[in-house]
Amino acid sequence: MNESRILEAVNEKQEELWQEVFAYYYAALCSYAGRLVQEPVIAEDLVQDILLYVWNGERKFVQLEELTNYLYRATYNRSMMWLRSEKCKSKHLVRLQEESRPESEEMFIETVREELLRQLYLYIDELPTEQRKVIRLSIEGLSVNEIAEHLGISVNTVKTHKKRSFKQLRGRMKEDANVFWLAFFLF
Amino acid sequence: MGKSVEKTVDLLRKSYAGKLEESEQREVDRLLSDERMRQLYECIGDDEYLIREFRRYDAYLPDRGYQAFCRKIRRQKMSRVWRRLSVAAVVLFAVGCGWLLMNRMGTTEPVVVATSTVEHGNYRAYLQLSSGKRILLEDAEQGELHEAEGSVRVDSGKVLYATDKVSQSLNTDAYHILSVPPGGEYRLLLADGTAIHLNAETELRYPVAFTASERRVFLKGEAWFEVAKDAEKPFVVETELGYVRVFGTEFNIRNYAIDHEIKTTLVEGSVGFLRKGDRAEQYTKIEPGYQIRCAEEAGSRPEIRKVKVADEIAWKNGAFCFVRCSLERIMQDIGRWYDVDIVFTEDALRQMRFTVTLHRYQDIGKLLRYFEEAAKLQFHIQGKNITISRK
Repeated sequence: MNESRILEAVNEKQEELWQEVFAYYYAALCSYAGRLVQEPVIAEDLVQDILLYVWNGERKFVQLEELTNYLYRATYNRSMMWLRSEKCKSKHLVRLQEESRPESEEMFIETVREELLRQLYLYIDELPTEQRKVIRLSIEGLSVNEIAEHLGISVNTVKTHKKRSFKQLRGRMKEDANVFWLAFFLF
Repeated sequence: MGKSVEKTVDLLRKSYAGKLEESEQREVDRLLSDERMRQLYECIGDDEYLIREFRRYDAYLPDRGYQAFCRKIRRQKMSRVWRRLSVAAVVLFAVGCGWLLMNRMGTTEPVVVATSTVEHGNYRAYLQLSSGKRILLEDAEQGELHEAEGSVRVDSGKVLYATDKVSQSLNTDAYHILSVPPGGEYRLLLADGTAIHLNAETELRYPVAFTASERRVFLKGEAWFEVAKDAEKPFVVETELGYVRVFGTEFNIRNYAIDHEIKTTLVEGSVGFLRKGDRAEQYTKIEPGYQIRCAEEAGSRPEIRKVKVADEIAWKNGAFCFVRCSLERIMQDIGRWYDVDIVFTEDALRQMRFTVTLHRYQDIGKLLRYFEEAAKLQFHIQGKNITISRK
């Protein structure tokens, strides 16, 4: 995934490149909004609105970090707006009242959570083939035994792959640090 | 926000990798002194938590999001173009009227431009009355049919039965059959207030009035139902494979012969499925958001799984929605809607998988272009045949 292409897509309004913007952010933003509004369909609508707003707007982003922060903040604000408009429905009212914490603190922690998940999720595609397959099948809900049978490898190998892959995902650093880390693993 | 998300994320990941420097370690310790941050750190450190969260991620398909986005952009562009065009059109219309008047009654024949013989489906169906008489219902058909068993109204794509008690009591066991050919869809409002939407290549047999102790209809193909509540008269949909029993609800049944299975998706309410030959107490029940699937082969049991309801009933809202679907299945649905036959030049092509949402009311060429671009395929349309090969 090329970061400058994401910025180019957004700043230069390149429709074809937006496919990568979606691959990069869509699931994470929907999940983020989904945690707040509790309804996946609404979450997708809100995220669509935000991305369309960015597309129609004039704002240019210099760094990817700036764009990332902007999108999370917009998603948070939109979701809260939606919740407030639904306030009359009692169950949401209860939810809002439960949150006595200041909003900014809440938002910060949830954003860190989502951004961690987003980065880890993207890195799944960069894992070695067999490890990636094990992770993908685990996500699809297969048990360790079923994965072993499916891939024709031993149960222990599946367990090792799983453990090691998640460790790798968590600890993997961006760009150059990445290469170093891999090299370190190989030798 | 004050604090940097990026910096915090980097620090935490370094910590998972065990590569923190001393000063960084102090910073992480300080971060984790916040109870919620510590919980978060433990969550991300838990493999099973990650699996659960990634499963949630998987449900949000970026490709589908991207396509919806592109459609919205295009619609925006169109509406801008339209605004300009509409001004131009008014001017042109005025000029045209003037010109026509000058030429008295224009004798020019309209020129028909033949492009492709393949057209998308439309509101089209045959209504067979109990007398055996068959009536073709076209898109914009309107009017009333006065038959021995009471009156039936047809109104632009819908068949409506009178819901008042008097006409219901007229004839007790008359049945009508509404059959939709390939390349059609049609809607139906039954005497009890139940609304049904039939997809292409589908047939439904139903009583004109529901006088028996249960409301029973017979389905071949695919249809969406919104059943009117009536606690005393359960609604039963009978298919080749089994029965779907309904208690006032909204759901979709798909049971094309070529699928070799029946799929019942529940939008709202409660339904149960019973395989033919099984005992009545063996009804499998589901909750909204779930689907019962039962394969045709003898001995296979109904399975329940969670589905995205919007995907399952997309056809009703004018879209095809395919999620990790084989090209073979996809082309079956497309062929049924555009009324064309499909030929694969290579068997391997049948197994290619796609995830995509496509508009049903568009030119088939445009629709196929998506597959041409996404997978280097070539579609050759000749008459009512489409041949698929590699580019």
